[in-house]
Amino acid sequence: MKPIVRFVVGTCCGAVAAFLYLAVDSARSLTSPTELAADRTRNYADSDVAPTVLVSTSERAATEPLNALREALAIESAFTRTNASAGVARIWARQDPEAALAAAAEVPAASRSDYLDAVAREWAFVDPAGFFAYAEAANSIDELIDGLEVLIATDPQRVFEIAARFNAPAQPDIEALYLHAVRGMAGRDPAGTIARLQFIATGAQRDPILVSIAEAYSAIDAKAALAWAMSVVPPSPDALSEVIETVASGDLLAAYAMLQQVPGGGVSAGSLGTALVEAALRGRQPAAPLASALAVRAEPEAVVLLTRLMQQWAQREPENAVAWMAGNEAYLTDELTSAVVFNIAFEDVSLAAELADRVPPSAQRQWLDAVANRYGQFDAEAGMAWLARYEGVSGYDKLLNSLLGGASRSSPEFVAEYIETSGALFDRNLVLRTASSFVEQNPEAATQWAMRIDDTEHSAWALEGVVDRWSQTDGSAATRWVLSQPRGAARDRLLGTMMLSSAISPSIDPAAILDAYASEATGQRMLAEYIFRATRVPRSMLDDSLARAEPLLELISDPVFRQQAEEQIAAAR
Amino acid sequence: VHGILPVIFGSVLGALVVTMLLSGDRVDGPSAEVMPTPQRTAPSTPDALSQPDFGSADTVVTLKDIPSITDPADRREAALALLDIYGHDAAGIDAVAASLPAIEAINFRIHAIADLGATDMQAAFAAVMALPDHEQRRLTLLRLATVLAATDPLAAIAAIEQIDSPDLETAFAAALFDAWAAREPGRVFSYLESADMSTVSAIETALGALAASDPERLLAMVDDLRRDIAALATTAALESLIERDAAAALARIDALPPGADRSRLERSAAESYGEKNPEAAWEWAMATKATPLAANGVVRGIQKVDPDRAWEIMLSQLNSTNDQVRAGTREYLMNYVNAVVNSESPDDIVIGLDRLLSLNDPRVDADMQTNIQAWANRDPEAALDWSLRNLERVNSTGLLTSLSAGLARTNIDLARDTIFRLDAEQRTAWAAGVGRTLAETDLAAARSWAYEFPSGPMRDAGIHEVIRGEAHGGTIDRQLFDGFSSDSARSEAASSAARRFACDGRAALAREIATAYITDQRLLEETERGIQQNSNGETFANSFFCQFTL
Repeated sequence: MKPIVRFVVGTCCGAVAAFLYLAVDSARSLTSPTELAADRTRNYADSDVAPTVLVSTSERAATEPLNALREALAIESAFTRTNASAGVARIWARQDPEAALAAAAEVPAASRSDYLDAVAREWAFVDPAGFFAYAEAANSIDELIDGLEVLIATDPQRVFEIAARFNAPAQPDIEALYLHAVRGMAGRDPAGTIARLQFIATGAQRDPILVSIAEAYSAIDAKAALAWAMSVVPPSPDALSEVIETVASGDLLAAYAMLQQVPGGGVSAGSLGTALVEAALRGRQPAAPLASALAVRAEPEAVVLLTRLMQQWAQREPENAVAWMAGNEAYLTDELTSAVVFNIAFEDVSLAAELADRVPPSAQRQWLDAVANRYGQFDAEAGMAWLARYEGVSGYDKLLNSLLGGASRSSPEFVAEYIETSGALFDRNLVLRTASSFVEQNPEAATQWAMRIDDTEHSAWALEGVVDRWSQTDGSAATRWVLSQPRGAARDRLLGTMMLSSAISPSIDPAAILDAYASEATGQRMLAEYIFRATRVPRSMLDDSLARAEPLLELISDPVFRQQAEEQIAAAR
Repeated sequence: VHGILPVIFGSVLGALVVTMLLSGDRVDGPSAEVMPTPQRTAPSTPDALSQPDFGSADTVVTLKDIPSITDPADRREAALALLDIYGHDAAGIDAVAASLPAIEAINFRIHAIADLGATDMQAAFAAVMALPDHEQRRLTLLRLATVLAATDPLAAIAAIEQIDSPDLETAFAAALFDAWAAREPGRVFSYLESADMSTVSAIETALGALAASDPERLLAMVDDLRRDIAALATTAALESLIERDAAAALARIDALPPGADRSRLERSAAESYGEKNPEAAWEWAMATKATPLAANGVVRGIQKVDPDRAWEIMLSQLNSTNDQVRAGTREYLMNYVNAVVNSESPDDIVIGLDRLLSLNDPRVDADMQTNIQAWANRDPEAALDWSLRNLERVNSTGLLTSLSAGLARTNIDLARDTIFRLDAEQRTAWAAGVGRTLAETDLAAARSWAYEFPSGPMRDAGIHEVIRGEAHGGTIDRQLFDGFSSDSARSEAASSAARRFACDGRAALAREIATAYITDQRLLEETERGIQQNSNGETFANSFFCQFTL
């Protein structure tokens, strides 16, 4: 081939290559909105079709906002509908914000606030002067709150003035805006804001205002903020807490050190620990080193903070929290174990059961006990299946009691049947609780069950629990049933239970059953005991309780009992 | 080798010619000084489609033109377009911002930085960190997150750690995932499925969009999520499934491990089912012998769409021949009262409550009081009307105080006047509520109002609320204690003030107030015990008391 031919071929190839390169490059650098939108639509997976709809309604909003809004509101998916309506709202807000606000009447109640928020935000963002003027002249700012939030960056003081006009205790959104504006002001000028607001901050509004200042101030200068919060007169533990909490979001251990600097003053690891730990974990501080650092410290406050940390860590990363327990057995206390297992078992009892094998030996028993109790509460049958693996192991009976104890409220019939048929010995409180819950569900079945139990002690406890609760929920039915039992010591015990129970919940007149006692002495003793209990009710119930008890004095024939009862009533008055 | 040279030369020449022909001004375009034709860089959101193009030949603007543009949205758009000439850096933004009305400068700056993120993320982050205050940084980051979600979300995720303030970092990450999931849920799924989840944060805000997009896919990945986020993801996914097919969702919920989450979701699914398809839902509840919790959930749902049917079901359950059904229904009666009180229509609330009273069940009366207090907070006037008609059934000091406090927030005049519609023994509780609301916002007004009453229980109630309000603020005017008509009223107020001071760590002042003004020995002992508990550190009950009772 001649050189000139080669040259021509080369020229053509170069031209084609350059053309292709530029075409691809051009495709990479799309700049027009339509091209971008089309590009986005092309590249979406099947589940990403929603943006196409958003682009369509946005395009229409530029020329026909009301129709675009209607189009958006007709979208079936609630999520896409909300997004599309908000998109229209933003475009309309730039063109004619007042018309956009008025169009909210077209929006169904469930989506209206999202739509209005979008209008307000965009209007305020693009046209601060117009929005401020509108808000300042408005009779209500309920629909404008999100826009005013945006303007805190522009002029927090002006937002504060507007919010203050409408601030009232029943308006949590406006109160939040008001305090956000305070934060905005303090973020720009802490000293000026303190000087200006300390006179406004009185009564119930004082602490929220001081807390807002503290939050903004501590983000700028934690030490200065702490010094200010400690100098506030009268003291404000809430403001002090806020400073320490803000520090904790960056460094929990620094916050702990700060806590040590403010002994007393209403701030302690007990009152503040949960908030500090939450802030630290939200700030993505790794939990394990924090736990280890707190564990080696001996101060009680560090232990409290560690307990709170373990509690929340277990909720987020149960496996890691248990791994820390395994590696730090020397530091474990019952309280720490309880903090870890409590939430895991509450949220997912089968996970807590699975993790039991990884818990260090010294904490195993406590862990299993908590798991058994939660199983009983949520799913007693699944719990029994789980418990079977521990049969014959030392401590099995305690686990069984814990499981049944957990189930006694949620599945009393299940527990009742187990108590009746297993032949095992059970704790008195378990029998009482089961009887009490059972009779609430089914009085007839509960009384029959209590009478059926072979073991006389268990049967007596069950009857006591049944009568105690039944007399509170349906006193007349309980009385009829007790009086239908054979006269004698057993019935006297039930009458006594009923009488004492009515001292708290006045469903039975003690005088009406006094004659039913087979033993007059028992009746007298119970009546005196009734009066004693009637004087020990909470203060809010005391007047009514004494009014019921006083007429009973004349029924007490024993002068010693009577004198004691009179003295108790007098002392209570 | 010599043979290939003509081909190489030819290729180079051909490429050059085509490049010059096709890319024109890209190769040697005019400088900004010569031809100021500003064009916006890629718009950050589809909403930008509606903006005029200030770069087109007939809308060329300069800095001098900016003040004359009357429409704020057009002015913003023109100012942003000018950045292509003056530069997207701090100097350029300053120059353009200076041409705008002062009040618009901050939002313009925020807008410019956020848009800069579309082409130069690092520069945008640097500009954010240079902003003078936290609030401006926060707002800019929220807007930047939306832009980056549309342009390069993965790079934005990698950049999260650059933000040095924990709360801004969280806010940015949350906004980023939220915006990205709303636009491209499929890509967010792919990202989360392949990411090291221990390094991913703040995806909670995206869960709603992900669940709406593909709940099954979200459920499939919950095992890889951090435990607390997994719980939220499961809830979001199942709530989305409930929307689509409540019966199927209920079957899924049944397979969840036992625990509080399952109970809550079960009730929520049952409620949604009852609302969407009342008869099918009730049939399901009967056929599956649903737990009382789920059955109650179905009735709550039906109450929203067909209150008469819901009541019919409740009656049938309460009169069932099956003891367990009756007992289970009674156990959740309070939930039904709550559903009635939360009905959208005020008429449905009134009819529902009247029906409940017709049951003549003392426990219903007790349940009602709490719920009517909640109703009073929402719609005090309607709650008041109904309560006044039924005072003999629902009369309680707490309810009247709550009603009056709620009404005073929305209609103070009506709240004051209502005192005269009440029987004498109900007025004190009412006065306390009005006084409480007044004291929350305006202590002086609360004080004047209290002293409008003659000496006696109503004035005492008003003064008590003023003292309570003052104690919250940390100071107290001791002369107020002289205004009480009885020792017991003075003692009660002093006790509440002393406990407040003790909660705020001022035990000495608390003891002083208690000793000086509490004459009731038992109350004094009780108050001193409370103060001591505060001094010793917190018990749970004490902490609860400080936060919610005082």
